[in-house]
Amino acid sequence: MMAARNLCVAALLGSTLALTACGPQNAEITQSDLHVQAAGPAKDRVVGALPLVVRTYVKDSDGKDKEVSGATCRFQSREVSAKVTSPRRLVLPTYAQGARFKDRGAPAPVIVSCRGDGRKGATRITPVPIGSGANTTDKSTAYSGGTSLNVNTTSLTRRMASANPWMYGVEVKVVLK
Amino acid sequence: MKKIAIGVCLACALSGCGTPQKLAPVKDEPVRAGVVSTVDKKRLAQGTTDITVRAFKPAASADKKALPQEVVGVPCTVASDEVRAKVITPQIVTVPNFKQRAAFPNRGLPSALIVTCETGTLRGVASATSKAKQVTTATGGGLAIALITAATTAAVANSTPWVYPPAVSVTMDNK
Repeated sequence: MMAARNLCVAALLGSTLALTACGPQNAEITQSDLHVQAAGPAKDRVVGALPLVVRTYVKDSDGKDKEVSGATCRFQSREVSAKVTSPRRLVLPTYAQGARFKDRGAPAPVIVSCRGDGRKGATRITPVPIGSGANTTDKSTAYSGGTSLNVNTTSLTRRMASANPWMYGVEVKVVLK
Repeated sequence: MKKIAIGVCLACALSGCGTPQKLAPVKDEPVRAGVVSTVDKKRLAQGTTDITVRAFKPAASADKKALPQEVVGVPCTVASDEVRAKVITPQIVTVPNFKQRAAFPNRGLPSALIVTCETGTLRGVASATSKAKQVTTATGGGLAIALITAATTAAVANSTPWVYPPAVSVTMDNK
């Protein structure tokens, strides 16, 4: 029992450190959320909306990504279009998924192209079903003293994702060169 | 004391711990959803689920604590790959449960129900995803028993039917 308690304490400390000490601090988003509406036939498949943050980076002298603010970014796809200044949170539509829709209702990929300070960069966002693994924890582990039991929820998560709406992700990172 | 605290929390969760919202009574008879002809009938489980469909619009007051207002008499369509129905809010739609079997693609998981409600000026959409029917377990035997229970629950959950939630609330906005 003591061993389990120690493990719990260690796990709690570990998760606290992970939340507070890992990675550089992101630039603060000072602008209000930009709500983007879907256009065309896809708007009939919209079932909700989820936020996505766009951030821009340059390579520093060590080759590491350093966030920069103030780049102008364009979001362009068949369904959505927007122009923002980084960093910015957009609220983008989510779409129904089903076999009755072409491509199961998946919206087209979004091209995000950014320019700033004489540099430019672009990236492509391919929509994924909510919970498809790109944005969820796939595995949970329970410990008891010296033994452990891995409860792998990957297959269940993936299966459920086949019924969940399509989303664009939670963050997009564009490196300017 | 602990039990009282848990009871209070549960009551808060159910009522919102503010002014409880009075929901409109469901007067119309339940509507039975039609199963799309292309659906393999072997996928249908024995039971059905009654889903109450309600529509709401944002509170008229600017007060942030103001609750959304229920809208009565809104025509809504309920659609998935497997079923179709039309309801007038608030109304119950009865949908089939689906078997969970390894033999079916994706273990027989049905697609999400999309509920679309529309009036002349308002429109709203909500989706509801089915889940493996809950297996209720009570544990009081410490971590070791909890692990055994978790493994058993996971095994049972792999064979229980897919069921939709009992209520869908559609939030409507101006078109």
